[in-house]
Amino acid sequence: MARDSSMALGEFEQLVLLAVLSLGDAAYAVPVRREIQRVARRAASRGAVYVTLDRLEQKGLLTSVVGESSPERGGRARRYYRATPPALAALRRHRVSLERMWAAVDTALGKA
Amino acid sequence: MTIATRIPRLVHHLLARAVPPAMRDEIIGDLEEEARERQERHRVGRGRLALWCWVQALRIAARFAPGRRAWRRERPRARPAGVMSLFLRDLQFGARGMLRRPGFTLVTTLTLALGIGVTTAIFSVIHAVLLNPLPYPDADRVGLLWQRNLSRGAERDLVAPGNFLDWHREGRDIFAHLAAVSPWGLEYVEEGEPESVPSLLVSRGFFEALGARPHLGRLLVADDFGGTDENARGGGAQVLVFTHEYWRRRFGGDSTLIGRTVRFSNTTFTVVGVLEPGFESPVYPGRDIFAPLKWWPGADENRQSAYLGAVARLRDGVTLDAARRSLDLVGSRLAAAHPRDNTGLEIAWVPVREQVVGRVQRPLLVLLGAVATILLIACANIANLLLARATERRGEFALRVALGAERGRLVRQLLTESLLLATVGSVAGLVLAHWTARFVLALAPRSIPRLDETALNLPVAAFAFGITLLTAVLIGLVPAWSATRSTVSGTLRESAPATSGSASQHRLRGVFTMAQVALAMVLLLSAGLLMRSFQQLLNRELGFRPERLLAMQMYVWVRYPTPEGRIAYFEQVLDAVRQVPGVNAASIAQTPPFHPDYPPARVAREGESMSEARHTAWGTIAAPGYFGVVGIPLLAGREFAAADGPGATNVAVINHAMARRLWGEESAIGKRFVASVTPAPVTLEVVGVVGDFRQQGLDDEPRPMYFQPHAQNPSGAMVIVVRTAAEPTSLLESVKRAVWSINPTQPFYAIGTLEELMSRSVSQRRFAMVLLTIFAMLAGVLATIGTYGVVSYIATQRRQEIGIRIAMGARPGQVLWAVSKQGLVWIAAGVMIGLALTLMTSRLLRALLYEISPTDPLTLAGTSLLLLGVAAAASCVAALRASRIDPVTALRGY
Repeated sequence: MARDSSMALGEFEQLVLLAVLSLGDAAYAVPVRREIQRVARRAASRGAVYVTLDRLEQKGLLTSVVGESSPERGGRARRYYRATPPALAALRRHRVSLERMWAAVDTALGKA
Repeated sequence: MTIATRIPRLVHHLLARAVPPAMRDEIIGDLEEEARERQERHRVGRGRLALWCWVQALRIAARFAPGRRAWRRERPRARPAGVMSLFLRDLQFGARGMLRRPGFTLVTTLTLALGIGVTTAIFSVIHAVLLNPLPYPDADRVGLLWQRNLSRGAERDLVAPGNFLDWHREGRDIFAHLAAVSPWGLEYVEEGEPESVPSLLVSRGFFEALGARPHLGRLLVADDFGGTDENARGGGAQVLVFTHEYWRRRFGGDSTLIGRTVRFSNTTFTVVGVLEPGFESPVYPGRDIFAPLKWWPGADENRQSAYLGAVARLRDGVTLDAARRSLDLVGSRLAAAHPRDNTGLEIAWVPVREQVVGRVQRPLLVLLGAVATILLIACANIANLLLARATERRGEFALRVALGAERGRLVRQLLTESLLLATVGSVAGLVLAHWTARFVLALAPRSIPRLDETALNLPVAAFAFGITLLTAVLIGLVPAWSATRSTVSGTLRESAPATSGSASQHRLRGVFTMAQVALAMVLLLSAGLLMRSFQQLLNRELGFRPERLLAMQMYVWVRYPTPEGRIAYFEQVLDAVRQVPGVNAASIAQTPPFHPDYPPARVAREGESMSEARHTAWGTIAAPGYFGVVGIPLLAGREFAAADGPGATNVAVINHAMARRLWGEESAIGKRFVASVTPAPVTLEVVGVVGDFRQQGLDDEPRPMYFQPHAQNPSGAMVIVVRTAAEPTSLLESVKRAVWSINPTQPFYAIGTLEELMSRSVSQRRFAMVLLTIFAMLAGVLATIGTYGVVSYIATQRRQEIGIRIAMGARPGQVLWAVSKQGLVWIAAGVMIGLALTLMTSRLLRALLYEISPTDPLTLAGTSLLLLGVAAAASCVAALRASRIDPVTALRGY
């Protein structure tokens, strides 16, 4: 449902995508949230994580597969997420534009 | 395969509905996983874990709530619901909640039914007796006039004809109507057993003062009294007015009776009218026939024999204060004009309401206070239950807040639920009230007026509805306020899940528990005091032996107009009665114990002038053998003998109290005294002294009395007293027949056993005591149940801590103490508060107490220990049950 690969990403969406990328094969909601808390050092509510994962999948930036079910999860399966190429492209674009903006700021502040 | 889950089922349901179906498994699984981790790694207890699950689930659900998913187009908002539909929805929700927890619902409903039931029952009695308007129009302008002599301690004395006629003349400006009444007896011997009919002589204006109306015929008119005003003397007509009830009972409601003549007491009377049903005189109630009281020449000068009651209606525009001031003036004028008879006399106006119900007002209000206290205890009990329940339901409230509910909305829902509880309770309570009222009526002494009007009528139902609303607010408001407050401030803050409310809730539980114990304490103490004072009363010496004594009151004036005739008649009657098998002894007396006294006379030692006489004594008449029959011991001298006849020296037997007053420690035998009686003073020689006794019953003080022999003062109004070998009522018929064998037309005025009369004399005290004791026990039970509930709730909350303590090696006693300590502190505080409250309200009770102070240390200590013991035992049992858990189970949180 990705209509436009140049779509803008919200800040939380970027964090979620980055966490999914860094977790690799182990990316389901619980570690995604922990990763954001641990690395980005900011609060992320479970609800927000789920809603964002859902939204990103609907935007076509994530795909998911249902994993194994286990008794410690009350017999419920995990859903593992993987970022799509458009997601990577979008993240890179954001990064590039941010870096450019920062370079301009640094110049303006006389640090270069 | 069933798989153990850690998150509550309700949370499952919530999440399953709140999140998109595609994510359901994932989210629930994640939560389950994290919950397990928290439990295993952080050793979180089951309760806290459940709470945590709730909070997380709610926060997730809140994210997926419609309208919150920002990337979707917002849906149109639902229209806000109207107040009524909200109320109905709350009601439905509350009803479902009640049905889901039948045990809780049953306990609360029964408790409320008890509180509302007994309160309504007592109110229905109070409504009938105290609040129902009296059957006299403008009753607040109607009153009774009494002679008050404070120096003699007489609050309400009857008035002599001379004084009454003076009041009538002087009170023209104050009273629209002022009438005198005098009790009278008419005998009806035309058919069936001879019957005496309690009657009342009433002077002009009696029916007008009371606003009575005829059912048939007419009431009394001027001609009946012999003239157009109060100055008429002599003359008048022999006419009678019947009460509706007597007319129905004796004459079958025969309307042709009006205008006909009927013979009563050997005289022909014309029946001129029948009163409306239910009419009753406020003085001398229970009279069947009314006849005109006619003044005779010389009545104006009679200021000694006080035997009239007086009924009055204030003139329009005269205030009660003005009337009282005028009466004070009239009183002092009469005292100045007739110093011999009227010194110290005042005129007392007693409103008719006070006359009729004044005596029973206090006991009934005390009982109402008692049942209101029970209702309060029940409320505190249920408020505590609801408080605990609200804590359990915090998740639900948090959900509703998360979904956008306002706090006011939650409070309203909780109040709706408590209203529902109270309403179900009050329906059950009305059924209970019906039975309680019947029980109370069965127990109530007949001396309480207007009891038969008690009914569960509209005002009573309105009262029940009112207290139901009040109850709903009482039981619901505090828990609702407390529960919703903790929700808003605590549950949604992620780091501190929902403990902030519990400190204040703990305090509230303490307050409710203390209040319950304190209120129960007040009731138990009051009941204890009443019981002790009743026991004191029963332990008193009567001074005579009331068992197996029959008393039959007779008036023989009509049949035996001469003194000789009366003396001979009673001798014959006594001979006949003594022949009856089973009769041990028999005699006659004018006023045996429990029979109304005649007014006392001034007495002086012979030689003293009468105007200096400082003593009064109650004079009465007895025949030989009387003291032995009744069991009054002879202390000195002799009883009456057959020789104490008409020609012999006028003799008297006096009691110890009188001997002490007149002669101190000296022997009274052979001394003479003068009694100032009408028509002329008599001089009597003391031949015997008997023991003191309580003439009017156990709560009466022995009074100075003197007896004259019947042969020297042959009254026609005497009571036959019969000591029987067996149960006295079994001999009643044969004794009656023995009396009728001398004269078959002689009716009896009153027949009873002295034990019956004695039990009647304490019946009001017994009534108040028994009811208050039952209510106090109910209160004690409720408070104990409440304490038990709270302590076991706290103990359950602290299972984990208990588990740890046991696991660490705490002995059972230590655990028990740790858990029940809090409850014991509350109970002790409640008992102290209850003691203080009782001391503060003891003035209310003082009037009901007898020979016992409201601060009686034995009662105070005993009751405190009792309640302390029972409540402490209850809280220990609760704590014991909680401490008997397997530590492993407790630590795992099940």
